[in-house]
Amino acid sequence: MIGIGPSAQAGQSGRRDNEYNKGQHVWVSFPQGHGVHSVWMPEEFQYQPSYMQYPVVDEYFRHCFEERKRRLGDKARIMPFTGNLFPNTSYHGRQPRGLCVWHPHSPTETEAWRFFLVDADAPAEVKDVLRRFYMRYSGPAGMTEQDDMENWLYATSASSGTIARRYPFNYQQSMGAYKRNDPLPGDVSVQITEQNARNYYDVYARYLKGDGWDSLLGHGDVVRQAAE
Amino acid sequence: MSAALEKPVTHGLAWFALKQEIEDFLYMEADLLDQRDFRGWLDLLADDLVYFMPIRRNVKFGQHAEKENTRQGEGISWFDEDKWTLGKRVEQILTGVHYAEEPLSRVTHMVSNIRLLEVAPSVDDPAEVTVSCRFLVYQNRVEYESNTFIGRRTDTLRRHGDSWLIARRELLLEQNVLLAKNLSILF
Repeated sequence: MIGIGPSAQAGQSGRRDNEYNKGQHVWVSFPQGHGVHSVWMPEEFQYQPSYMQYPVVDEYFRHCFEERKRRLGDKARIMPFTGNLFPNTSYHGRQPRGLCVWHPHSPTETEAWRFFLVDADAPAEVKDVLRRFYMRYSGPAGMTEQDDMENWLYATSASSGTIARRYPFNYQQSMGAYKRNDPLPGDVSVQITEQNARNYYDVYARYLKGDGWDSLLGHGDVVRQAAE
Repeated sequence: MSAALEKPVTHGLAWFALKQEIEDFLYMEADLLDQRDFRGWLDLLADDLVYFMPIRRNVKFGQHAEKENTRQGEGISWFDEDKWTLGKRVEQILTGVHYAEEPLSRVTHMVSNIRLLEVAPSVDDPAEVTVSCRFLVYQNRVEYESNTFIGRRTDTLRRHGDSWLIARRELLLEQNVLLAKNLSILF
């Protein structure tokens, strides 16, 4: 893999810095339909050098890292990766950092709006490096994301076929392989899983069925437990 | 732009010779890209290259100058890049596993309406030339996919031995929402 990340000139391959390498990946779903993929870092986790071809940016993120740890304490161990806030707002937590709002137009068409985030108080050089990194990573011109539409369009077309439409999608990966509120709040899986997707569609189905707010907002979480 | 439009057409032979040389250079560049000699194309780029394609907005009448195009150095554009990132794009395509360009697209770059906007310091001793043109880029991929990218382009070329280097390229694609699924080809 060639280096297209923000430390490529420092000899690092891949599309991002390896900020999560000592952590435990967790996939967490919530009764309201949200689902996140985060990384639970070890108790004594340290700043991982990043944006190494831009020393000012590396220094800025080292500062942010220490400050975040100081303010959040143990909670700082949760490092965001990606996630979806029910129903249609997704985020990339760190590299690049941004929101995506998905507007469904039809079963085969979705409009997506991307919002890229930089800290308002960051030095100008940091903002500029992030802006350039976001552009070359994301969207139809982004080196990482430019094959996304390739995948989505072919997947859409493949799913529209006569045979494909006879069968339900398979969302069975890692069935039941999660623990409730352990070690974090929510239904937590430590292996890659489709639990977030199952949870999402379960909540979505409850909206379509016109369930009451107690059910939709997961109060008591009885419905889902019964369903599983 | 308006100053360029008002220039009288009283040019000497040196001007026509230079224009011919610049046109040949741009056609040669298009050949390199269309023949998929991406590394050869990179050699035509100056180390301090600015490669910029804004996103175009639909704005109210009277606001075009101020708001129609995203700006270089601010916010998000389709491209606001340097030679290093373009080198990475080429490296990525040449891995053979970059699936937005594997198999490689069939591409034709057409360049027309070529005009010399600025020649410095002089037509007799041109070190830097600003040239505008229209581009029409046709992309055809795998079995049934095709895209046409049409727009206006302004390049700054810098004399380099008996050839030129591209020091600045600004591409105004005449689209608001990108009509192609991605921008995996080089412009």
